[in-house]
Amino acid sequence: MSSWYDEQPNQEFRERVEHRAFQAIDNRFEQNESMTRRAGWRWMFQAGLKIGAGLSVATLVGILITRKNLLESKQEPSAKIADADFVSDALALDLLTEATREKDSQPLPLDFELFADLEMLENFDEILDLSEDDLSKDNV
Amino acid sequence: MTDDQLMNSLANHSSPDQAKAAFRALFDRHGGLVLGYCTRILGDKSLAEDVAQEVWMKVIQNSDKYDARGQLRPWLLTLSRNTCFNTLRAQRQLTFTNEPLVADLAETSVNDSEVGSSLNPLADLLAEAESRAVRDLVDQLPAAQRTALSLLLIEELSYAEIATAMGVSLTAVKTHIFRARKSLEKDLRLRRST
Repeated sequence: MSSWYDEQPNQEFRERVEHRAFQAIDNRFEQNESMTRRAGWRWMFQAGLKIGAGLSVATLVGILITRKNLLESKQEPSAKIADADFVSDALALDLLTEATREKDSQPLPLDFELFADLEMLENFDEILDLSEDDLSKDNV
Repeated sequence: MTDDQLMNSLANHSSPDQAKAAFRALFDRHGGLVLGYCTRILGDKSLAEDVAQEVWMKVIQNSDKYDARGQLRPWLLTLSRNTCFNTLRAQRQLTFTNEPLVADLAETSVNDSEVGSSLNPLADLLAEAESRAVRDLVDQLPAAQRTALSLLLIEELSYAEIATAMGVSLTAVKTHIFRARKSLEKDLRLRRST
């Protein structure tokens, strides 16, 4: 119901108001759309950052564990050497066999220490001259 | 659709077509009220159209904050009044002062009972009178009287609320309304007799 103070808008005024109003509504809609899009991008960026941070932490933890293992291995070398010996037993045997073969094929070098030992063994003749009786229980 | 439903549709950011249809419906219903109220306060049809346009822009901007539950009319009037007063302030035309009225009070000696009793006859008189004639007479009143009368009759504010809105004393408001009433009664009688 119209009151005494109402002022019916004319067509020109109505069109002017509607034009501005509809522009404002369209702008608001576009702003809303772009905000939604921006929020989507922001979410993806944040997710990427979180994944990156997770990977960095995992890498760092991996490096620390490796470093710790290396330090431990330097502090306990015997265990490592024993393992190495065990592993290379077959290789050592091969090398020994090869060396023996080479040794057999070549003339023996003079071993002065061996001569010294032989001199000591000259006394063995006396031992060899012992009879079985000399070696009996009562004599020993 | 109710005003509240239309405001809800206008606040809907996901469907511009729905919002436009809601705006058109709201403008059809309340466009006359907003423009009329702005014209009564400002006393200038051309300026009132500009201000009313701003009011409708504010309606769109603040549609998602609207929570008046069936109170769209007072919400629109408050929005209109604030926009009008802001415009007058910007133009340095908001000159509601108490000083000249103090001197006038001595002459007219307005009392509360006189002002109170005058309201209903005035409203009746306005209701009876031809709308355009009343509007013309109200628009010819001095700015302070016109504004006080508009706030009282259109927005239905109390004297205290009018005093706060206009930034003047309660006595000044009573004087404005008393004088406006006297002036309107005189003019309407004169118009009827001719």
